[in-house]
Amino acid sequence: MTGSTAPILLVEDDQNDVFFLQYAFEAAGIPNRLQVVEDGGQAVDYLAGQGEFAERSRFPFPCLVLLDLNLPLKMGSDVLRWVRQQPSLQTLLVIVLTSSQNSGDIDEAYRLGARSFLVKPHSLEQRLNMAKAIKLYWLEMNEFPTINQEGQGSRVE
Amino acid sequence: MGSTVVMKQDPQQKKLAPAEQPTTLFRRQGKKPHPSNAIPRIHTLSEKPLNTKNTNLIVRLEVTRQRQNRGAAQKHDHGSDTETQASRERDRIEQLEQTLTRLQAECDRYANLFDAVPVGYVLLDELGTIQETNQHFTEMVELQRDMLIRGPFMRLVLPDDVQVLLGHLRRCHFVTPGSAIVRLRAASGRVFPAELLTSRWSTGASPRIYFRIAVTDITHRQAAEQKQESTRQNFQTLIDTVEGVVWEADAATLDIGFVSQFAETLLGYPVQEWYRHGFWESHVYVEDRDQVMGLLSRPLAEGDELAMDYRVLTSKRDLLWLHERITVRRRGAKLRLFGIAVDITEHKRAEESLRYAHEHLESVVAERTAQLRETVSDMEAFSYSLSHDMRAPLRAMQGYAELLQERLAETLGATERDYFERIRGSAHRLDHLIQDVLQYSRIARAPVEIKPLQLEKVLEPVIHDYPALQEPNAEIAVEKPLLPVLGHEAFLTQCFSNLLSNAVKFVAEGQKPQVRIGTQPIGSDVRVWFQDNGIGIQKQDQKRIFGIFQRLHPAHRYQGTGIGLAIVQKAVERMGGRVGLESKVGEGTRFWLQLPRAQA
Repeated sequence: MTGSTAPILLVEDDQNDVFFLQYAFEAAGIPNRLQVVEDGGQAVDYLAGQGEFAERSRFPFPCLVLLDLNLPLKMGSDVLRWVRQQPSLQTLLVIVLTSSQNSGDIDEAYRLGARSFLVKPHSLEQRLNMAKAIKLYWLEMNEFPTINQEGQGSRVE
Repeated sequence: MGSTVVMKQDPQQKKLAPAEQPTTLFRRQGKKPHPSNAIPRIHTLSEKPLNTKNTNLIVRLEVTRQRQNRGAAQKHDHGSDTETQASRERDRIEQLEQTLTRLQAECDRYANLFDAVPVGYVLLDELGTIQETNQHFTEMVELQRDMLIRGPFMRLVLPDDVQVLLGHLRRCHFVTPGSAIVRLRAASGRVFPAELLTSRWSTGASPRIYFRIAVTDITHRQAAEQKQESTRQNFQTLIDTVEGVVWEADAATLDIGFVSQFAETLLGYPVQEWYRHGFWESHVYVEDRDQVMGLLSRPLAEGDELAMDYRVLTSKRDLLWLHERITVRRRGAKLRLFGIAVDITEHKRAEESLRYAHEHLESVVAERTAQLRETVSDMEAFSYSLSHDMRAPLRAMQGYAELLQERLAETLGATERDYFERIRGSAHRLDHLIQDVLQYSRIARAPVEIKPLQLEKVLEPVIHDYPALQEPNAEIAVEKPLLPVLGHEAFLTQCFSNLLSNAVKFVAEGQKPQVRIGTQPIGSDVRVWFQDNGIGIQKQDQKRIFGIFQRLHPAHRYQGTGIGLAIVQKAVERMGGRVGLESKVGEGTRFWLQLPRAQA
């Protein structure tokens, strides 16, 4: 019930999907800022706090990552693999949000450390329901690991 | 032996009767008939054989008789001999008569023998006059002896062959005994070839020379020889027309004993060349020589068969491929090779190009396979991009349409709301289509894993997942127990799902769909059937219904993409089974699929 003010990192290259999700998040009343990066490389940079995302005050460490699998250059699975290799990111919550329903993709995502696997909803209503569920479950009911917040805190300072 | 003995001459006798010498050699001389009644002939040969010494006496005896006759004549003239002397003389004559009789008998035996020899015999003098002959010769030329003696031998020889005869006699005169063949003409006009075996004969003291000629009628022999020759020629022709080099050689030295004319035709070297020692070996292509010589230098035995392919150098410096088959045969103490070599250059070339083609084909296949793999992986990438990239804009269209609809909810009229519904409906259908195509392509290439399946366990989740298959929307009855099958679970799930959604979809309006599911054994297979109470399918449509994108009804009446049954058919095919249906319009349809039965 602690909640988090840290942003949610959305890794998504499709601007329409970004728009719909933002719309749904707003409609659901999610207070957290939605930070958007467009590919796997940017996601890595953001999480590592490097390159154009070096400034942590502008790009705070996220409390949740929503990761599309089908991304240009570095795929979602590459990002998951990279995250697993970072000792400081072992407790990062990554939720896959993708259009694929392929069972191979699903299993691989979980194997690589995804905490949940969501398929992109098709209708306004479904999208709104998903946003509400994320708000309720992940942002309100769920207890966040402490390390991320500490990390975030130390970087912010 | 007989003739030699008879011919033996006492030098003494010549002095006494030099003029008659050649003719007095024989008892049956001159033109006088044989005095056969005066001296009894001896027909048996059982008496003790004569030796040379005895026969010499024949001549002496004749001489003595002549002397006696003269003596007797003198006595008669003078008539003054004493009785004792006369009596002694009579005894002596009697004794001599007895001896004479015995010797005459011996002489007869020889004459008989001489006549009986199955070879014509002629004695010629230097001038070619016949001095003596035997019965066989007279029969040969069909002339009486009397007509031959003292006549020229040449008379019997065909004019064309006279030179041959003269040359032959000259050779025998100056050089050595020999033979010749001349044609003789018999009295009847019959001409026959005769072989003359002639030797010169003369006595040491006399300068006179005689020719002893043995004459053989070789008509039959010549015919046999001609026949043999023609047979030989036929064989030769046969061998020379064989399209292969037929040869024969010594196994140890490899010296050629015979090689057919085709060797020259094929390789260009004159046939004589082949008989030179080492010729063949030196023309075997250098790269093949060790192998060929190695094969031939192994210990060989009667009856061995060898075969080898090798190249030879032709006179035009070309290389020809020969296939050689050799049989080893013992001839006396030695082994000989009998071989036939056939030109297989064309064959080898064909083989070569075939091998090349084969290798080429392999590389082509490898290349094409790689291309195909690339295509397949391209297709997979395409499918992936289809499922994601094509569906994304669709989702966006759907999304914005919904957003607009929501935003404008207050102001929209019924018509506008309908338009929005149509946009959403179309987008929805397109999305389904894409998903079905993806499903079809996945079924077509996903790996198949066949295992025994309990159909109830496959069927239950399908019914459970689709509200359309549950009460109160539909009534599904399963005739348990269902027979187990061999199949791929995911495929079968897909099939059941598609067949059931079809079964409940195509019903007359207002009717509650009722489906019965059951199994029946067919041979070693199990047929799984789905009986519905739907609208049925017309006979002419039943065949094309399993084709992809085949729809029998307009989209607004029965929704669907036309891929569902194509997926079923593809999935069942890939599991090694088959599909089918029985239907009557208005009475429902029974779809079935058939798979191998699993052990319960």
